[in-house]
Amino acid sequence: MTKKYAFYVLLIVAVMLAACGPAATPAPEEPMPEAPTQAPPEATEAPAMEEKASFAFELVAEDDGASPEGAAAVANKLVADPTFVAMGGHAFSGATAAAIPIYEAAGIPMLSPSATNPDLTKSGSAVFNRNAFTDVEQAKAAAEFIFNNLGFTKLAAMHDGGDYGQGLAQLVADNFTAMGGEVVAFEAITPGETDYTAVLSAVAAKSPEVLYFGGYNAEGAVITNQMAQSGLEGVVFFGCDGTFGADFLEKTGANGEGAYATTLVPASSPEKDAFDAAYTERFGVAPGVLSPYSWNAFDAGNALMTAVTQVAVVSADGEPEACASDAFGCAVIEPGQTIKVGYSGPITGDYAAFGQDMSQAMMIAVDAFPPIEGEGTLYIPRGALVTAVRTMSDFQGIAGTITCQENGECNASGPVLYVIQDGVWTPAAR
Amino acid sequence: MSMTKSSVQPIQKPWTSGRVIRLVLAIIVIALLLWRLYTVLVVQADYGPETWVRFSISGLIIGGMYALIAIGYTLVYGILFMINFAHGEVMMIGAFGGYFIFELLSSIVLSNGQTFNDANPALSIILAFAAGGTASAVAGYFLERIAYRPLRKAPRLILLITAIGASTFLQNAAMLLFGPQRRDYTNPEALTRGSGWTVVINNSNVTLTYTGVMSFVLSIILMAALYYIVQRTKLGRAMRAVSQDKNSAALMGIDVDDVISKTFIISGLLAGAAGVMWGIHNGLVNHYTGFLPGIKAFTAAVLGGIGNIPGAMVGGMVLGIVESVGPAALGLDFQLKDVIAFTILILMLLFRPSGLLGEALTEEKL
Repeated sequence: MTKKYAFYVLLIVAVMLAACGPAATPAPEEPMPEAPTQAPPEATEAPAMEEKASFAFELVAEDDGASPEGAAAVANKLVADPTFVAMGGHAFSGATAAAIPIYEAAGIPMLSPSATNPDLTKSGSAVFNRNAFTDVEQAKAAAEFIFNNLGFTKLAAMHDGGDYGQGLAQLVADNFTAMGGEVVAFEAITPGETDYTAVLSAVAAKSPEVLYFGGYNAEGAVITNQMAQSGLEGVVFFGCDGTFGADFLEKTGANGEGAYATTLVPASSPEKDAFDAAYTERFGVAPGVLSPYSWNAFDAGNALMTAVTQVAVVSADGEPEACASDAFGCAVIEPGQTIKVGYSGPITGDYAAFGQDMSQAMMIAVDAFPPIEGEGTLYIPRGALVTAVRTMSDFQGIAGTITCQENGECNASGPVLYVIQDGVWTPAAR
Repeated sequence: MSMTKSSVQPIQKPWTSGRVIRLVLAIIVIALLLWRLYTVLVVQADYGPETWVRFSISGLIIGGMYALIAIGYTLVYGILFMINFAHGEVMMIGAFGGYFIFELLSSIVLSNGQTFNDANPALSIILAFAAGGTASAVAGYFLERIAYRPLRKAPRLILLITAIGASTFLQNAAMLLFGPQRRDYTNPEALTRGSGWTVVINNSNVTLTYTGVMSFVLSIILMAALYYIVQRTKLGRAMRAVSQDKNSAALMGIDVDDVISKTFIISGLLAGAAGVMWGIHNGLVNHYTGFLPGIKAFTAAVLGGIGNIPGAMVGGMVLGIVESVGPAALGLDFQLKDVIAFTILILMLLFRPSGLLGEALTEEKL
């Protein structure tokens, strides 16, 4: 019986603790948004309007689980925050499509590092931009390379059934047929599995010369490893930007030799090396390992913050003229508050590595970006910011130049074809 | 568990309208299937015999793993009448156990320059299975002690929700502990993935991978061992007694809690072995590894008749083969293999709810 009493006493204590937990610490709960994490101490004094204030950027990384429902929830949550000004996402094409209308209504510019489905920029959205290259360009480059440079005429196309993978595989197949090649098989796989020998055996029965895959590393590496044992010996694996990266090399080993991929991974430069070093030091893993989009995400974050700096006005005496004339009004950032830049991707679940990688890369960009200095309150006209991102030109990122066209396509550098030679990704000779 | 077949005479059922509708439906479904099979196999004839052999090999290997996991569902259901939805995660923990042993062994370099892993493949594999089995058994034991035992008297629905909660907890704990990226199993050189015996069928090389053959043989051995334990040992008799009637079993001097703990340990061991096989054969593990096989194995257990051990074995094999052969045989897209698997589940529940081999329901379970 004493045991039972002890249990109830413990239970009551636990319930009391649980009840008191938030109540006992109300202080950090309330002023959290204004927590002067980055601002100098004098900024905390409210009446000190004449003092020089410093407005730092802050990354809000949200988990949308790569799903349209999750993305809509994240977008609705973020637009409710008055200090949230720009979105460096979303990560996946399907999720992005669901989130665009919500940002459109709130006047939040987007710059996605990885959503590559072509339809996204065809809807006429004013807010959606991306610095990933589109699947149209990527598919054209891949099909031309396979047909003209490699000289193959029998192609098998496979995809993971997602917006991105299926769209890409379809585009490659269309391009290839238009050029005069033959698409002998077009198969879908279930993403997230580790045994694709059955579907590969079915593809092998159609004897293709090259296997194009639209999808991601996880599945691409499994397919590459299981090709030989499924009757596809000597067939070339041709991937996309989703299958590029150190992770693919590591997972395929000798099986990966001769595999192709398209990518936007930049050549070495001092800026890239500095970023690589900072990322590796902070997160204990090199960029490109968790996902191939690390550099793009870093650029997207920097480009958005640069645009914010261009349009932001610091004023000590009320709302500036720019706010009154702006269609969406201004984001008002009081001294001590931070300017919130968002990221959204799958931070948990099967594709967690993608979301975590991009949010980490963006975190490095945001933490290193200089704060906006000035006296008074910071005003960011939202409509002007949307325009500033859309009209961005010649922004030099580490992954290439960002110049936005009228439809929101901002990648001005295009895809690069890589092939694995002696266990290293090497630019393929065209 | 319906190990003991009772000699109940089948009752003559009346021809109700429901029964007639079901019969007509069944005839339509079977006719459709036969027509589809005829079109694909005879009219289109896309695939030669070598391709069918490859499909079957893939199916048998994955089926063996499904069967091992499905046994865990069935054992626990037989004893506690609950679906242990965290069982897939128990398998994932076993996969990680094996992964870390292989990592450790491949980091030991012997005097002749070989790693311990490559020099002693048999010993390394035994160690990996031991570690994986132990990790899963420990996980299963504590899962029962912490999550299920305090709710022994609670309604079954509460246990089900707890199981789902435990599953999510274990998945996310593994993600925080081991990171979200997929990890590569370092097999001993002798068991390199993709290498194997080559059989020439119809002028085409069909590969019987070493890892696949090992997985299949080992799963058969483990199933036989389990069958022996349940049928021939004192523990097995106690388990069967507890599954039939907990109170009477306790009156006969059986420590019910102990038997339940041991059931979780045994199903953990089998799931752990399946996890290590999964890693050795498929190569990649992460915190999500157990989710899909867990769901599939649950399907397999229902297919064979939940609570029925040979049923789980047969259900696993059938599900594995249906998944790999089904899409091709019906001329469907391979992405639809799960649709086929779950359609079979629905048809089974409609036409034969007790599963392929049947489930003996005691009064208490109903």
